[in-house]
Amino acid sequence: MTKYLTLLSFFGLSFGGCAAFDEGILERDITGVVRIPLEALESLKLIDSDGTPIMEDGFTLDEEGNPVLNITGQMGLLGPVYLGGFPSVVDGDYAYPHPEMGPILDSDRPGDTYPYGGTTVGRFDYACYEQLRCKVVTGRYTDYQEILDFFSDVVQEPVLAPDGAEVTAGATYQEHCYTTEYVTSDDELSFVDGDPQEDVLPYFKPYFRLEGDFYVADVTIPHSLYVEDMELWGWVDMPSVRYAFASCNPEEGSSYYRYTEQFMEGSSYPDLLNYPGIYIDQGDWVAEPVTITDPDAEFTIDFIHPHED
Amino acid sequence: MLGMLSVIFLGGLSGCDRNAKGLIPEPSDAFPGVIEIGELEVVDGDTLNFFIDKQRGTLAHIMPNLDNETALLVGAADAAEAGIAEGYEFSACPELEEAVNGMTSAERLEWYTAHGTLDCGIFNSDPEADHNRDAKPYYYGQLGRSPELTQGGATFTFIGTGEDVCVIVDPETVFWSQSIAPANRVDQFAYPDHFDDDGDLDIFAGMSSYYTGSPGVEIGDFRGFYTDSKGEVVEIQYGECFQTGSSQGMTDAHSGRGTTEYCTIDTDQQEGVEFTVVLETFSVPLDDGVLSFGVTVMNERCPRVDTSECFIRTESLSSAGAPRACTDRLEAAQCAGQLGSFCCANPEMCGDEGNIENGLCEDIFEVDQAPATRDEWCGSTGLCCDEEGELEIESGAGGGGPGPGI
Repeated sequence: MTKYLTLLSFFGLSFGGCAAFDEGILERDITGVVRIPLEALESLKLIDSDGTPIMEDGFTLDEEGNPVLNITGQMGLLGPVYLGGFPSVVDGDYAYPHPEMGPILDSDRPGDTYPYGGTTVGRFDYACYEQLRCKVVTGRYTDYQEILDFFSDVVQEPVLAPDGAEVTAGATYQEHCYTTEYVTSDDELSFVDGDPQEDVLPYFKPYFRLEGDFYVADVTIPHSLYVEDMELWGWVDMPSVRYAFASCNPEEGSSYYRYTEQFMEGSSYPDLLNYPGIYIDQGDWVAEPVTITDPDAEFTIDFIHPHED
Repeated sequence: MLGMLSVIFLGGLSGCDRNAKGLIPEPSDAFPGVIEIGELEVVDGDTLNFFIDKQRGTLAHIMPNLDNETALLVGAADAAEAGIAEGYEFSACPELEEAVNGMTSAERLEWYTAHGTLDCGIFNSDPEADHNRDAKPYYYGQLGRSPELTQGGATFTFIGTGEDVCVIVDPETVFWSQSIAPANRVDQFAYPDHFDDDGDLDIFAGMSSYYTGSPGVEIGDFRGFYTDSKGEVVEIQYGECFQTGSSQGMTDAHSGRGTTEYCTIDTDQQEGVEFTVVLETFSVPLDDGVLSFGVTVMNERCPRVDTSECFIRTESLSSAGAPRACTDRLEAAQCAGQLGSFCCANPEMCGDEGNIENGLCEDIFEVDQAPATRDEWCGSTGLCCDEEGELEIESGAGGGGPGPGI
């Protein structure tokens, strides 16, 4: 009997020891919601190569300038959202709230913000055609046809195949991707996702939904250093009037080489959260900072400051 | 029986160099492990050409053993003797011509170090003054091994010009990896290197205000710490010597043993600011325990400077400070892509000849792309150690290109 009691005691002790152990890790997953006002899209303007407006006041325009298509449901107009955790966010350094910076070490650059962590809601992804480098963001499209329609009807620059022919069918686009990217399923490509609400907790897929006057997306900043009273801050890189994005460099990224086609596939800059002031430009929307006092509480961060150069 | 075995076993243990200490050179009283060089001038190529009497605008080089016998003439005196003024010539400055006419190369260096300018206006403003604070145009030195658990190396300073400058150091002597490919052998590297005569120095540089070391006493670094408003500490590298590897994503990239190492430092908006350069000892040659090197700071971006082995010449020095025999020819052979032939002609300058491919040296010599004998090759290139006289090395293309045109 004594032997059994001793065994039971060891068993209980070992369980108790496991449950009480605190590893002391300072990094946390910080989860919340980003919100971008509807106005970010409604105020967006696009022009064609001649400078003629093709989109304004929330509608695409025909040749006579008449409104054609309401663009408030066109998520492709939302660029990547960059979100980081910083020691503090201050006014006065830029025309918008900006994280505090360390010393200036290079006369060509501002000081580093030394972020504690960060993530994006959507990122640039190479979408199988050279024309689409730095123009397609993950979490904005559910299928290939949606991309083709967006570039044809909203940006009004139809997607062209390497031979110059317009790509009009999603199936053609899909086959081109499978051929050139050496994949056999859509699951292997990040820029389309037929199941955007799939549960992948503790993270979220970078898809926005329209809720009232805001585009809303769930987000997790993974493995961020948590310091009490740290501030979350970021911006959404909105397209320029010619549908280009300041945070992406088409001459970087993986190299593409196939027959007569040779180019770089494009990539976002690696130091966006370190030097955000370099990349925020006309038309971007900057967040109102949020102070984090409890890493387990969900935050809501609003991108409500439009930046005008 | 057991006792005998124990004696053999213990004897074997004590005879072994079990911790490889035998491979480490002994510290030397004559050559300290940490030295302070002083200030180097940010020098232009034409100043270096002045010392070796080369025409202005041609590719410069430096050497420790400047000629101390041949009187060099300039201007009218040169034209009167040679028919036409050649070598280094001043641009309409009779006062400077008069001051240096008839000096040897070594005397020119001494004169320049005392006066610090070749600019006519500056010189005439005060012909007796030293116009560059006694800064040296270049430096050749020697480092011993530092004591255990301490970092050895050399430090010097230069003053920012507001433009890009290039810091170049060349540790002795020449190193290469042997080509042992069974097919498509590369003759240049087919012969093994003499490993024991090579040393390695790594460059670090930044503003002197960030340097943590004590010049001549203790080697430091350029690391600092930034504390943000929440009290988090971030280490910051204030070093500004970024080498080619680091621009491609490799941080702390450095050249290997026996190879020139250089970096461009942007001193924009830092004119007049003092910079410190640290040459950290990475390895000391095993043959003598003394690491010789040459170093200079040029007023150009490094891609516009000759950074080959033939820019800083003859940096391998004996314990007396004199150039080691034939090392100038070894460097010239490296620059010319003739290492294989050089080693076959001068096996005492290279590695173990027992490790070369059979027949390598039988058909390696070529002159004008035709097979030649050793003597014919020696006569054609001047790269044999038993050749009389000083080697004539033509400067090659800049930016680390080929050296002598032989």
